[in-house]
Amino acid sequence: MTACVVRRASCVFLVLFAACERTNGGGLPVSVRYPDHVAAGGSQPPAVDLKNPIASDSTVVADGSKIFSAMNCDGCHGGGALGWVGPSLVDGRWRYGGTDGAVFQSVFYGRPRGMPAYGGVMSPGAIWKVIAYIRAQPIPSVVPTQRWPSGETSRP
Amino acid sequence: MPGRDFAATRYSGLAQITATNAPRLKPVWTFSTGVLGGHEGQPLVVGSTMYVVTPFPNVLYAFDLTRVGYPLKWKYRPDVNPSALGIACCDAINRGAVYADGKIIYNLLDGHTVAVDATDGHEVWKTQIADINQGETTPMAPFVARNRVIVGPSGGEFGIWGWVKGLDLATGRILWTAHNMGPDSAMLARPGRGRYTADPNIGVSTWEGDSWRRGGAPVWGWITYDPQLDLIYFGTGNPGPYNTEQRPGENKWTNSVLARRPGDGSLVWAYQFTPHDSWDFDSNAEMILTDLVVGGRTRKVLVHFDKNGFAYTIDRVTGELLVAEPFANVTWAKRINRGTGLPVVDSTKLTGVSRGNVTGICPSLEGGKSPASPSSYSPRTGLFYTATNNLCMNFQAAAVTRIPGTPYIGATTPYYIGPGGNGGEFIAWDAVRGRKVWGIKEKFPVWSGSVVTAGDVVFFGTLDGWFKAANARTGKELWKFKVGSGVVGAPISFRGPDGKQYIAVYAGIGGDWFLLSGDVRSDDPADVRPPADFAPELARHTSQGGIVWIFGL
Repeated sequence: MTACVVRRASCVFLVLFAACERTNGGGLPVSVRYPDHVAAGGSQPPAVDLKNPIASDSTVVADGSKIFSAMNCDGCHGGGALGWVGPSLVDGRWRYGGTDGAVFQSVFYGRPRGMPAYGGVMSPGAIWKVIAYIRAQPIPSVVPTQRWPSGETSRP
Repeated sequence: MPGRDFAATRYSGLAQITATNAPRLKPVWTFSTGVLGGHEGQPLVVGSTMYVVTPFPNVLYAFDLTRVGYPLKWKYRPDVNPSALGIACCDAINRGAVYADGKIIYNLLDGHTVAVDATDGHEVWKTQIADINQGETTPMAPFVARNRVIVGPSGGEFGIWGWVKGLDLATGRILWTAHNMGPDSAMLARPGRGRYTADPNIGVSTWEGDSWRRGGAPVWGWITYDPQLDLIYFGTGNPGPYNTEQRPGENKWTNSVLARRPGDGSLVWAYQFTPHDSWDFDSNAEMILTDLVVGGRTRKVLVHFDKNGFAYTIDRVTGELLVAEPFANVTWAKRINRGTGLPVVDSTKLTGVSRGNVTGICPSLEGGKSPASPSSYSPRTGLFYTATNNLCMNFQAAAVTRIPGTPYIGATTPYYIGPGGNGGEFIAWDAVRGRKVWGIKEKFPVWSGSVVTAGDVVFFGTLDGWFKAANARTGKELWKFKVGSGVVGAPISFRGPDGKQYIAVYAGIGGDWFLLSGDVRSDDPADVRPPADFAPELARHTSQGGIVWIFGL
């Protein structure tokens, strides 16, 4: 699994490079939107097609839960991945795309506002188990509407 | 300076605002900082300019108080590495700036200290002091004593090797680095000299193996200075990880007060409040300096409200413990033994992986009082004024692995509101007798600093967004105003160029409450969280948002 992902990762750079070359003659590249991971020039990087190769079951989810804690993910994303100094991972919403491949990239390569790159620290198999764990969590009832009971908000 | 004076009294000698006229206070000016992070710390007024440092990205604003509407003279926008956002344990806050030698000096979140010309805003120097890749960030307010800029890191939740550094005020060059644990040579300690312990290398022998190298002891709070004794005083933070079984020993000098020479950093004395901390009881809260008559003798003291729920009055010449009494609900210890200086711990409250889920620990790890909420002291009333939290916790430790630059914590610690049902209380404290004189109970924990004035009025804010004035002698609430977001900053009082007294404060909930409340965020559509079960109504009253307020008569 490791070798496979590393190979695919290097493919990303080759494709991006090729895309840049193509746009030199054809005007400005189309805008890059993070959630869609549309590469400049319109080519999809192959990593977007990454699917979780591990079929999720209760054992995989339990393993993912342990890894989520052991790799200190909960230190930023909170217990249950409900959000802490880092964003919630269980609200069904994603800053950088919610496909398997996009979430894998977020973990493997990191993201600019504080997410460290876990590639080289966690094996791809471990990352997939964490993703299976996150996907198994229920979406909180406050998404999208949070209501407070009517009546007094009393002060002591 | 951040605490008003070397002694960090946060006492203003201005007396135009009094208990009689305070009900007539009204807002005279506001300014949105454009930043959403927790607005801890305080504005700084020097002459006729007010300086404001924002949370990340750490913009410095300079307002001209001589002109209508207080327009900006300039603003300084440093290039701060956003990767630091993932290294900051508890929101991307900043605790303010210090003025010295014509420069405004403050820390950027990503481990740099900058000095900016106070007149025209140009950058005079910028020094890297900390390494985010090792888990160090730098939100604390620097302090200046004897031409040294004293700085320290956060990172008690990231397995750092805690330190303070002394920078040259003129150039920013790092002149000395003093670690809080490790060999004596790294701690700049000389065993047997003066007041310091005769045991060599106590910063190693009170740890197992090399656990001191990742043992925490950050310096993210406030620093004070006694010019006669030529000593700076500061508190150190928690040992890491929270799982005690990965660091057997007393873990010196975590959770301690250290007295050092500002010139060369040398360690003169130290006292540990919570040895072998089981509960994340950082001691970074301010050490307020004054003279008090204790036991019939006038003593030079420091007064400290620790996260562990005890208020300490300590002889700052010798480090001798004079008074230690609980100011909050405490269950982890029965009392502090004045003779040995050690807490009498309830062993059923000790935590660690093998102890499972330990319940009923008070205070919670938010502290009986947060070090982020600096207290004030009035020489007129002889009282100390402080925010407090009434939170307890359960504590389930877990084994953790240190991956540099990621959290190194090892505990799950749900909170609940303590006895009485009020989340917090703003109190006046007698540091000679060790007792509360009056208190104002609040629904939510109280997380703001305070300022007390010669008009005997004390000001503080609440998490649900009220800014309040109280009679400093009686605790009677005199006035309140809803400031738009929860208050986690510290108010100041200043005389404007027009000769009138003003009160300034930040609104802008954040810091730990960005994490704890869960639902005060509105800026990110991809981050929606349930509320904290112990404060489910907080977000009914406040969302994030930084605003500078000025009030006057």
